[in-house]
Amino acid sequence: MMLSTLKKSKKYFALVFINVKNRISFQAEIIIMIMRNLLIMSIFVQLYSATFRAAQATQFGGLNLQQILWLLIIIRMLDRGYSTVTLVNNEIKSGEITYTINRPYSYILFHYASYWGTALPNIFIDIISNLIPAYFLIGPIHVSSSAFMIFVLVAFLGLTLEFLLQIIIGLAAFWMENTVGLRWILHKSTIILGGLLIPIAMYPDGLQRMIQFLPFASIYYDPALLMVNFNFALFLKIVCVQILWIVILGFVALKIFRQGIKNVSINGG
Amino acid sequence: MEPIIKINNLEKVFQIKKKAAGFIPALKSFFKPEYKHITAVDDLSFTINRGETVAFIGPNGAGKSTTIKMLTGILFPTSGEISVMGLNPSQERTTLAYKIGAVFGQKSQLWYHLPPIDTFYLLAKIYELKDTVFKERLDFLIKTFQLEDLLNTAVKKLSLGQRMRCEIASSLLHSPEIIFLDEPTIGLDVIAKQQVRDILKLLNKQENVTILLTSHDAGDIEAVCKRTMIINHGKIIFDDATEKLKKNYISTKIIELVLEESVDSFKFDQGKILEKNMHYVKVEIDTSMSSVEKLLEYALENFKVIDINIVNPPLENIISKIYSE
Repeated sequence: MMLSTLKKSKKYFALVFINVKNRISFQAEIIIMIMRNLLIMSIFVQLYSATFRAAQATQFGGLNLQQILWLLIIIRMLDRGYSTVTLVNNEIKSGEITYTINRPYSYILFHYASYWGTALPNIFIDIISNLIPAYFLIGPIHVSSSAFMIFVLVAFLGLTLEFLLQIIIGLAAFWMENTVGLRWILHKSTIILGGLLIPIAMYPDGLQRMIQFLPFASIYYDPALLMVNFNFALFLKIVCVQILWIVILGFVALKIFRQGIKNVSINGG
Repeated sequence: MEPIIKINNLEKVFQIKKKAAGFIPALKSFFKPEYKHITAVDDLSFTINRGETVAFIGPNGAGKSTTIKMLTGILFPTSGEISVMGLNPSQERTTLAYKIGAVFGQKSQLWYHLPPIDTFYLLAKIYELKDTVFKERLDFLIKTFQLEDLLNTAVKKLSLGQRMRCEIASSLLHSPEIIFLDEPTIGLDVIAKQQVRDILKLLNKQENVTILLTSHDAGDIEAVCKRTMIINHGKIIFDDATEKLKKNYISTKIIELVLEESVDSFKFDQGKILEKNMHYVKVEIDTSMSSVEKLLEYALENFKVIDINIVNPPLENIISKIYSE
């Protein structure tokens, strides 16, 4: 049983590995990514420094300027874009699914492994390209090793949640002509309800209370918040919300896939 | 003979949304969509035995690719029964995947930006092959498919023929008992086509792999398959030995010649001249009465030949000949 599970998990690690290898073959894109990160960081620094000055405030929602800037930088490091939605949508629409579906593995885990294979090098590049300039522009931030370990765990769960939301929308291509509309809704919801542009700590209290039970803040914002302002009670609450959403969305993804596979109609025969 | 594929009364109906022309009809169709039903496969029944080489041919939209996709478990049948090695493909797709291989000529399973060897290593893990088994199999495939020089070149830099050799090799890594090939020679040049055909014949001979192949090219069928099924409008209209098909329905070859001289004096009694135009001549040969060799002998003896093209009659002609009987 153990041996069989180990053997089966090896194929998913191999998928992660080949995706990493594939990702790092795009050197030019990586350089553009680093330049984009620097630009976004300088905008954040200017924008929030001006906001704090104008409001003559030292804190918003218990976070000072330095913490808010680090929070936004960490969110940027975790934000992985919408590769899975596009990939699954294109696979279904182009008929490439004939190969990806016809293998001895779980289709959802296959994409989960591919997601991590693409995400890991991107996160690594983002960390390198953000940490050094952030250290000089914003100043160092103190993080204990245990808070960092917990951050890694919560970030892992957050990105798993992001993947599930993405694959659910991608799988909608089994029924829909195009999933661009749904992807747009997910994107905007994540930006607004996930605290990508404005920290949730700056939102009105009522909205904050509602947001904490939705999955969007659990993706990037909550892990980043734990990193800049660690609190054990907050950690427990975040993990519970994340696990609950992972179970719900995992179930939904599996159900949609099992139903959708019966709807496959591939062009060209 | 051990049956390896059994199909009984198989049917596949696609439901397609009707697209209305004009704004008002399009708006109406948004609120009240209408669907049309297309029967791609209609009451199909056949059996294939282990080790057989079977061509599954027909014009575009005949239902051949749909059948292959149902046999591999990608598409769910609307009704009917399918058994591939005792398994129901749509219900037991993952178990079946270990035992079959598939090549879809118009799709790729290789990682475009990486060399083929990376895809081979990945597939070895996906099919849970032991390292020693994988190494042995890889060596065999490298030798058979002449892949030594291609293994470490990015797929995007390979020619179509080289890529197709790698595609087929990757479908065979896990030693499947059946291989489904959907247009494996599409877009390939003559030499690459011949290589693919030779490989398939060798696999069938050496490993008794059952081959089910769809192609528009009668040459693939003649070279590889001992049995041919012709499908049209989702129904089988011919299922017999390829020899019989050749004898009864592919008895002609069309030869196009471009000569340095004018073709005015070109006369060949053992064939029918279909077209003559300045330096170009098109001749149809009945292979039961004459041969391509005789025509070429005549042409080379009397003219300076610049270009030669030999074509099989189009599949549509064969089908209309079958219907006319």
